[in-house]
Amino acid sequence: MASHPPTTRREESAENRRAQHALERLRSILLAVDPRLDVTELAPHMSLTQDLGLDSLRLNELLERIHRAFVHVDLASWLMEATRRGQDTLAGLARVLAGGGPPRSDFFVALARSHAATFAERARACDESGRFPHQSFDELIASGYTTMTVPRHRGGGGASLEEMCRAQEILAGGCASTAFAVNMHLHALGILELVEGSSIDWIYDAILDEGALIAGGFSEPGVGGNWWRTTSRAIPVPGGYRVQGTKGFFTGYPRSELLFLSAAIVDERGESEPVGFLLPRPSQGIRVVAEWSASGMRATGSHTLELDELFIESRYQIGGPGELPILFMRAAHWAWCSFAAVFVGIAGAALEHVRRSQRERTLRVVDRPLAHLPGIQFRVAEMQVKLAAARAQLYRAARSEHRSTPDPLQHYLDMSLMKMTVCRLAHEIVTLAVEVEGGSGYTSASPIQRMYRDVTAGLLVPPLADVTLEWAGKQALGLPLFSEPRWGS
Amino acid sequence: MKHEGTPTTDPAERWTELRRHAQAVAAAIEARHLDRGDPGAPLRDSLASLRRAGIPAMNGPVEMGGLAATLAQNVEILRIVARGCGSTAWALANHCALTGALRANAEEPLRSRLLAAVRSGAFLGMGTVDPLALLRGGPDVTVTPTPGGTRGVDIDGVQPLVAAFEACTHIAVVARSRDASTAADPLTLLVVPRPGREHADAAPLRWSAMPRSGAHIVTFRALPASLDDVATAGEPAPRVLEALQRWTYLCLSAVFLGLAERAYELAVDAGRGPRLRTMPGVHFALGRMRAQLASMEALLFDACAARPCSDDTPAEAAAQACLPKVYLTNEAVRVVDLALEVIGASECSERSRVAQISHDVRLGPLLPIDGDSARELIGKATLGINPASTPRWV
Repeated sequence: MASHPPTTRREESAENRRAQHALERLRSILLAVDPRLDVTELAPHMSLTQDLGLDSLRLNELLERIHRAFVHVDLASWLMEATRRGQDTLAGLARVLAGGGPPRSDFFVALARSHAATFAERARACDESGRFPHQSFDELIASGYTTMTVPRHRGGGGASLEEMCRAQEILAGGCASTAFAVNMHLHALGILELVEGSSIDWIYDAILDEGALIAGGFSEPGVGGNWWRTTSRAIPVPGGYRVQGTKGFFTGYPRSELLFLSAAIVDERGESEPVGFLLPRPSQGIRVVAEWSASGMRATGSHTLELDELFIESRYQIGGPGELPILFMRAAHWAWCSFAAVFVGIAGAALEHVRRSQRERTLRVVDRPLAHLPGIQFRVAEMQVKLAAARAQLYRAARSEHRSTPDPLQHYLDMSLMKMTVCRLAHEIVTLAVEVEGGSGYTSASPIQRMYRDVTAGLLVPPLADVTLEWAGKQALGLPLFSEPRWGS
Repeated sequence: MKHEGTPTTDPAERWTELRRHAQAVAAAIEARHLDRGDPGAPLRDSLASLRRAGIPAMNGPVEMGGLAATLAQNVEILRIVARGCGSTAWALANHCALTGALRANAEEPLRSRLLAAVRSGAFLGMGTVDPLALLRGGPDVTVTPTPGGTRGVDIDGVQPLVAAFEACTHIAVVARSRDASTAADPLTLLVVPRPGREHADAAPLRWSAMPRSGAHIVTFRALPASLDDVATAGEPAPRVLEALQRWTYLCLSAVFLGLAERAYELAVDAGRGPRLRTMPGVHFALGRMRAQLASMEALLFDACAARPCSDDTPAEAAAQACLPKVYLTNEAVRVVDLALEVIGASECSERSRVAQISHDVRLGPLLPIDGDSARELIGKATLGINPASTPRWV
């Protein structure tokens, strides 16, 4: 399957950035294949066979290493053809790896895999310090990972929801905080896909050209996760709005250049109409009133912000007054599938961890590795079963046709039920991992205790289980979801 | 344009028709059993209804009047039938698994003979097969060459839980060959005409779960079989049995999904009553049931679509095959228990539909492969431990 060549300068810029990153990775791999090579000799125009002298054995090793660390492209075919034409250059190979060649449907999945390995080494330090993982975000931006969900026709990666979820699942297995924080940015772009018109092109430009990141804030203290009942007020003033309110759980704020937040415009009848704004991070009118401090997802920078006389230009408004809930509901698959993927990633990493640890770990009172104990086997089996169920439900939702959904509320409910179930299963899996690991898993040195604290957040991403179940049950009975009193009449 | 009365040949239309027939049959069976109030009503009536609808023949080739139904289509039909009667669906599940798995994998001449027999109304049954037992030297059924040098074998041993035994025309038997001429003990799968009392003792199982399933424990005594009854033996047998296991577990899982879905429908009906409709516990229970059913359905159909990996060891393949069954049968019990909470004690009389579903669904986790065996198999496969190795644990 051939890819399309870039058709706009923006697309070309994004592709060049990915190719540059791929070239740097390729150089590292080449040095691993042949330590006699000098990195200064690895110029982009150098031929693998003619200039660098790689023989068939080293070429095979090169292909294997690339396949393990990079994309699933048909490198053998490319190499054969490129060698025949005398075009087997580093630059050419880097372009293939960056998506300039045949199948790249797993490009971001492979990118996530390479990032996850690095981020895993920093995850403990980030968790213990609670500091935002700026270095990891530098690398995500440099590799083009953060362009994943910018539409391809706008110059971005154009990844499908399924590919995004698979990539995020893998990234979360390395560092859940990083994956969760970048998910705010990635899924927001999915939501914006439903916004028509050119008023958001500047957002894509900022992301592609400047590496800008979106941080999101619909949550507010005191509303219990009912984000559509925002208490932040947007008062119309000349040229825009003056916004007043408090935002909680503003994930990604420390690294953001773009803020996606909600407020309510009160109309002449006194009715609140929620509206979204996506604006460049201002220097005034917004401040951190409480830094993120929690038991899990500790490095996500989910600060509490006060919006105090924040002026927002009209051009940064997303949709019309009252349209935000419908917009979010129609795009709920981007939010809930991707967040669920983060928690599945944590669960998968927990299973992989115990699978390795129990095969090696021994006790003085047992003559074989602990993997041979039936209790360990039974729990590992339960983890495997639950993980299969979680993944099946998640990816069924991710692969479904979402564009033509006629009922946004039904869609939101379906996605919320999926998220609730998948996150609950993820939590059960990691809980089993804690039991398997035993006391050693409870110590700070073990990643299992961090995974347990991180995966618990999945139970708390709104809408909470009780709200979701209430709606699902009422809908099954043909009852209105938002009538008052809610029960017992 | 199709003339009235002319059966359609369009596959999509035929599939739609088959689903409609399955829904009608399920509703009719459910109504008949509720009217009779007799859990022991014969299975033959239900199977006859299914035959008239063309369901047992759906796995046959199109040129033989079948639909060449996919695994996913089999699963869909089974969940529909189960909503009407768990017993009937369980019996049908074994038949579907056999006809679906063997139509491409069985050796000739059995394959052709079998497909022709099914087209003429044959109904296949088999006992439950535990893959862990197979990996550890089972099953408890053996085949030995018939004395006297004739071209045949004798089947001996016990085959548990053969559903619809007396309604079946043919029985599939997984046996271990004890040929004195070879050192190996390869597995063999045969499909034989249902034996009579001369060569088989069939003890009926009378229990509250699946009471109309006609399940028997069958003991074979030198049951003669022709070598033409062999579906697979020797080197190809493990892979064929893997395919059969996969079909069996997914078809079985569909039965329990259908039971759980029917329980949910009954709970919704009950929940619409004036006393319950605004109660939060009812809303939460119905919501939880919806969520669980969605996860069950997703895993089942995901497994139907998955391609078995040729690199998998037999143990890994068996673990993959039984994993959905473990999840679905256990979740089905939880869904039905939630339904009972909604429906309440006063509506759960022994003759009620939900009471029967409650009995039926509890059989799921107990049918081989049972919970502990499945956990051992899946756990060992995940941890890279050979389930046939000794000592079994520590």
